[in-house]
Amino acid sequence: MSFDLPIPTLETERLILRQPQERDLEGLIAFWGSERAQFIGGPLSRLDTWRKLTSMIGQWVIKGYGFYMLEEKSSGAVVGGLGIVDAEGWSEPELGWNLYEAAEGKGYAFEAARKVREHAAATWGITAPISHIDAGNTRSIALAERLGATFERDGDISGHPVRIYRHAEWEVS
Amino acid sequence: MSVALNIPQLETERLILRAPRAADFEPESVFYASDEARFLGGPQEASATWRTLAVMIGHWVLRGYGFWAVEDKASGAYLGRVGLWNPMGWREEEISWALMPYAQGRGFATEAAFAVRRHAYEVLGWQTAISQISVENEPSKALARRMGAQLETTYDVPDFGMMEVWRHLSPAAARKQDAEAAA
Repeated sequence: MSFDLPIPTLETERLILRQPQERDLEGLIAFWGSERAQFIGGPLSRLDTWRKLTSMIGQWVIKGYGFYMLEEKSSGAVVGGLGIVDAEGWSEPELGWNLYEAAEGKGYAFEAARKVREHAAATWGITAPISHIDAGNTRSIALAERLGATFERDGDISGHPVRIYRHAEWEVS
Repeated sequence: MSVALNIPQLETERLILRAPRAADFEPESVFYASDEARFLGGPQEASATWRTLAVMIGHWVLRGYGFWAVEDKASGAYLGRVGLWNPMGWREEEISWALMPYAQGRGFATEAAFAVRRHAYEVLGWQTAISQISVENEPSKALARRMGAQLETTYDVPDFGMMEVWRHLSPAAARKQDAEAAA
């Protein structure tokens, strides 16, 4: 079997959203090994982060949609990741995000989320995804609310309790 | 950008080795939920098994080799997987096999393992290979012996326990063994 799954690069005012690649590994290891990953299943070892990267790529192949790396246009630096996460144990596709520390507070996640929601609705028919958020992750809850999501119900991922936020229906123009 | 996936289909007398696909998750999750998976990092939850399937595909993308799904040519049934494995942190390139319990005892793993060894040496140009086998996994050790592999060392692998490292025949010796088998 041989195929090429196209993953179009998306662009916002300040960001490039592109597929994860092997060269993202060290940045991912730094993020996933840190306390910043505490609300999303981390911290992870280097090896588990390698599995995270490969499974992100695998999810693109299996599902046809997935997670992007966010590149800051001005510097070319990767500032985090955002996209649609969907795996066994997920009740439905999720809009997920993580921002590296240096990129905090600039509205990057909001900017990327709007773009991915537009693309997800138009291309994959994912018009009102959920977001799983740890109750202690106040920054992420604030972002979800800024994006117009509302708390829907309590849930869990692999036994870990999470709050499930629902994003408003995206009107495809 | 795009994700390029190039998984050649291999064929043996009774088997097709093909790209893993989403439908393989069903039998794999049943297998990995059972005690039968104890030599292979299991038992584990379905979510972890799904993640492993996704990792296997990502491994192909990053490394250019990985696990094939093993299919019974006659019935099309999914029999398990066999492959060339080298995730980050691995000791070295490995030939690996894991057949579903219902597919064991008929020489399928042997047939598949010889085919992927040939692929590793003749197509990918590997100069050597190991197989890591749980100390208690006698059927797997018997297969390694049939391939001419030799026990090299035993060590403790996180999540897997005590594992034996079996060193496979060199490319030249493997070629000779293949030729003798074909004669």
